[in-house]
Amino acid sequence: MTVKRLLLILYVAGASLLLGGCRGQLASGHRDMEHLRPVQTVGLDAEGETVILSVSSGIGPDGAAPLVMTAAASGIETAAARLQDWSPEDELFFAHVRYILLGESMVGGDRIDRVLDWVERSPAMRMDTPLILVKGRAEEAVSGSLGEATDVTERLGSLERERVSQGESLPTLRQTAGSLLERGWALCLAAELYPDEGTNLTEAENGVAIVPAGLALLRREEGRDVADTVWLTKNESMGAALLTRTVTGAKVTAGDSALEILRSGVRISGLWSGDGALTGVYIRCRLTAGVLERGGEEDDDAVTAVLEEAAAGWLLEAAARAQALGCDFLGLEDAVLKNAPRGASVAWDEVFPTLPVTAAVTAEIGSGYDLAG
Amino acid sequence: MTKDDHLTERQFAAAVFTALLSPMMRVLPRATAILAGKWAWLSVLPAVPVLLALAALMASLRRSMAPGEGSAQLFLRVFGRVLGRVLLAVYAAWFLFYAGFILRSGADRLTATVYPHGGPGPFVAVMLGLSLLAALGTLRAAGRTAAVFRGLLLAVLAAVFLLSVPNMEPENLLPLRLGDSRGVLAGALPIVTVGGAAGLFSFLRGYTPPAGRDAMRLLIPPLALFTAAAAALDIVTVGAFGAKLTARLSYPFFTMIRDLSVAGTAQRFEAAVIVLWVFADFTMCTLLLRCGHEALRAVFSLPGAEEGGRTLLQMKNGRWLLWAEAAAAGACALLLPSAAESFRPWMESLVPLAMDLAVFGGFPLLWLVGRLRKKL
Repeated sequence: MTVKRLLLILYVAGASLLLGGCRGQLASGHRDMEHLRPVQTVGLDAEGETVILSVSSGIGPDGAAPLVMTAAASGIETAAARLQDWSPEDELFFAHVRYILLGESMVGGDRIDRVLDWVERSPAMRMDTPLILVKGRAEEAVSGSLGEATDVTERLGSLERERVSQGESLPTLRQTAGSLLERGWALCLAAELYPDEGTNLTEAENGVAIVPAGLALLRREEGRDVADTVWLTKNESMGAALLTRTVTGAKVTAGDSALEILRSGVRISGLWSGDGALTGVYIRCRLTAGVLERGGEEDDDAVTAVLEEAAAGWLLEAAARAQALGCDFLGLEDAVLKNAPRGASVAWDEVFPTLPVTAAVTAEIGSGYDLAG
Repeated sequence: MTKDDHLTERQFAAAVFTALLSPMMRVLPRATAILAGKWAWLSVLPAVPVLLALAALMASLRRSMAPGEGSAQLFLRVFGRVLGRVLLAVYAAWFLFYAGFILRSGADRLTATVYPHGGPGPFVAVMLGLSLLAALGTLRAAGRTAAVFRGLLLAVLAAVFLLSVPNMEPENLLPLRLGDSRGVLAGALPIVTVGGAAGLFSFLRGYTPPAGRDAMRLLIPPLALFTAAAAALDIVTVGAFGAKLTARLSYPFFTMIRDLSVAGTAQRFEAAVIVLWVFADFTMCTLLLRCGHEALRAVFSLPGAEEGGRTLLQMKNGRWLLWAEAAAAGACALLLPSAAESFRPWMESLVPLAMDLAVFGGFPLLWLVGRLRKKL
């Protein structure tokens, strides 16, 4: 390529960037940078046909209190426009939304589709924004968790950092919508607004604390455009995590000891009779864990035995929930049928709910942080 | 026709590829995902033999063209002066309608993705004005410009594909089950329709050097580039969204760009990428105006557009036709339904069907009748 042509390409590329300046003439809603109020967290709830949109701008760079607003309307875009009307000076800017919180009322029926449609049609929103399902109302999470020094975005940020430290990112709207459409279900991160009994979070005194609550299964019935949510228990969530990904950094308790799972691996296989019939599912799991805090007089062997028993329980509870729901959100079918004997034919949907599932866990206690260990 | 009027083979290929990027982004990821599901990214495989067959047909027609002749002259030679003129008038009408459709769909893409408060009017007017200016100039200039645009758009495509890899999820592409493979043939249809549109530009073959025996060989590299781009587009889009979500989005490729980030330090550059696709629309419109002019020139037995002089406002020798064509294309763009729900059937059914008729109906018929009447 000649130098002249290269220069021409650079010139055209540079000139095209300037075309963004047309926005002022073409878009009546143009605002200067200093009048933009970037929205960082969006919460969505529903009451009948009404959508409630809550937004939080996050704490400003100068420590200014976050702007928190809520509006109800027949649609999300209308609610966003209503919020904008209430803020004539500043333009609410949705291009850098970090989290979308869905209250449980926003998941039922076809409401999740309305969220997807809004994000797709809004040029500012992104499909890879993390999506978190809230047990209760998202509005309460957005506006109620306004403490003295922190807000919902910071709390969600800390939740995300913890998750990232465990080698796992937050599920995004793109992943959730894709899985829901493709497979009829999606595993989402669940959060709840109040701490478990027995815990004493000081933040709760200033408002509402938003804390992780395992996983939620969003599912859509075959042939119907409606979805519902199943909240998985902590044990089921842990079992689902072990079965669907490599778990690293998760903190668990086994017996009286606190452990950190350093590495996990799962192998799923089918049990086949001589005539090629599927008679069961066998889950083999290997765990390496570190001791965070040893409980009582437990030695490594005792901790290992307790962990193996607990982990087997998590796996079986998750599988049992999947079977009870008739929804293979653990991906057992693909794993079992991948190694099916030649000529085997399985009507998975029919046999899955009653298929015997067994699990065997081999745990190993690796490096620990407990000086007494 | 002067030497300046001529396009080199490389410039012609660059212009055609750049023009095809416009319908490719509008049609492909969504249409192939609807028809082929998870197999969408393999739909390019059955499309290749069909496009090769079309390329062989177009090469055969090209070998029958005398120097300075394009498809318009072949239509007159094969079908006679009456039927030939009728067919050329139909082709001219299609070129102008399709130019209007490209203007309008380009404007819709911008209003749907970057300028939600803008109407299509300003975008249509600006693009039409630029395309008319280019059409009034020499094809050589248009070809050289297209070569620059092709390099730029290919670089952007490569960067977007590379940055999209982290967003891809293997389970969206694999495993594939044979039971679901029936759609893969149907998924090839939109690829064939978009790629086949290149055949229309044979109306401009009078401006490229004769190819003789090399006619087919010269078509292979552009065809390979087109199929590679189409396959990459389907792989990254379906890989990121899954087939069903891709099928549900209006502009999956441009929606995907919103999610891109350069190592977490730079993001939200979709507006720049989307605006760059104006270059593809511009090239497509310019070529369509010139193709329409070639068809009408043959109908009215007028000299070439570049034989009337270079002055912009020079109207003699049929150059006024280019202004009339631009007005007709602009009118088509503004008369198309304004509501997205009404415009969608035009994008998804009527226009692809008409394109298939123009390419896979018209050119095989031309070749067949020409052979039977020993005119080729």
